Amino acid sequence: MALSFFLPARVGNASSAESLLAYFSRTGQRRYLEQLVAQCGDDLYYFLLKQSDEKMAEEICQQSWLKVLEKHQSFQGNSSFKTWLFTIARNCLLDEFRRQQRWQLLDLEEEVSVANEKWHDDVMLQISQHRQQLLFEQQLKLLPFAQREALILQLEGFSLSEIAAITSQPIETVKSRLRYARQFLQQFCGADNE
Amino acid sequence: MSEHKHEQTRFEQQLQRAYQQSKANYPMPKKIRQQILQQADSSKRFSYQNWFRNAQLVLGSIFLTVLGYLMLQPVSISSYQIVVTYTDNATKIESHSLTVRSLPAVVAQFSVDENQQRYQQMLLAQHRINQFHAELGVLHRGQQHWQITMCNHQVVSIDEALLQQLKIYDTQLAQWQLEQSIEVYRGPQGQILAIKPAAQEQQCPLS
Repeated sequence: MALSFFLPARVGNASSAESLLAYFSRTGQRRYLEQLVAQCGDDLYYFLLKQSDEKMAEEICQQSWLKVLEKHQSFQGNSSFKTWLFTIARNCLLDEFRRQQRWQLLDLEEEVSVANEKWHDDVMLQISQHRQQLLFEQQLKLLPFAQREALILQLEGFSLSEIAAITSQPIETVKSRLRYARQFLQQFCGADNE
Repeated sequence: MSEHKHEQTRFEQQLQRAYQQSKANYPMPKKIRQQILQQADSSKRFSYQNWFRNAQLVLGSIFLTVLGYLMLQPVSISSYQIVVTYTDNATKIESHSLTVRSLPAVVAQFSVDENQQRYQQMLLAQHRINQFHAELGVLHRGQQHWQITMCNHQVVSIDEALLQQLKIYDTQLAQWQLEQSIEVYRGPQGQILAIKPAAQEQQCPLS
């Protein structure tokens, strides 16, 4: 990974995000950044949108890319570009939550399983009433922040260790969050299929 | 068990499909994309950070080049060597010579030895020659070396290079007599600092 970042022209796929960043750093040509945004922009925006709201997602998305523009020279290639980008974006998002005092630890940490049970009853009621209207997005919204975050990152293709790096959490915690998130969604899925 | 596994796989597929469909419904707005690219254009125009970094790089490179050049620049190191030998009849002969070596400056810093110190001391002492006592001797011109026979019969041989460095008063060596009586000034480490024609009345006492 690190080698392909430093020698993009000789090693690795020329269109990989790391190579594009390296080309952009070296030449400053806009087209490389365009390709980079085209490759990772939608994924990042969706992640932010699901973790906040439209306005904040747009704002944080812009902020994150601006940080990429400012710090692209310092990218060491120790992780993939996408992991780096998502880590930047997540930090910006949490900073914004803290600034707006929207950040609640309860939402993040282990009490999510207790919360799940409470939510489960409410949500089961909603399901019975509006089963046909239940969509993936809504189910996702019902997940606590940390579980939703872990799940989206995994569905986005990040490995457990990459998710752990992005969220600054141990792998076991990530696994646990993913397990809870899946259990929660699976309940709806089962109910939906009945 | 396999049914559970099958169900699990199906769930994972559903989840992935739902995720991809959902993501496709929410692409990054075009205006955000444009704003990002505009920011890139404006930051490319003039970035103080980049400029500062590049300037640091250039200055650092120049500094290192100059430093490297100075450190590797050869410098001449002069050494004053005294070798003492004895003849069969126990006459002491001191051979005084000057050698010049060329070393990189960085190496020269760490290779100071006694002979170099003796040379440096000679240069310093030549400025205050009147603080030293003179001894009498006779200067002979040999084929390759000059020789001084001191009044105590000790022989001091001096090479041409050293002779050029000695402080010689008023007259030119070529005008000196074949056996010229001289005053010899010696430094603290026995090095010869200067020679001077002796006055008529100054002669070695007859032994």
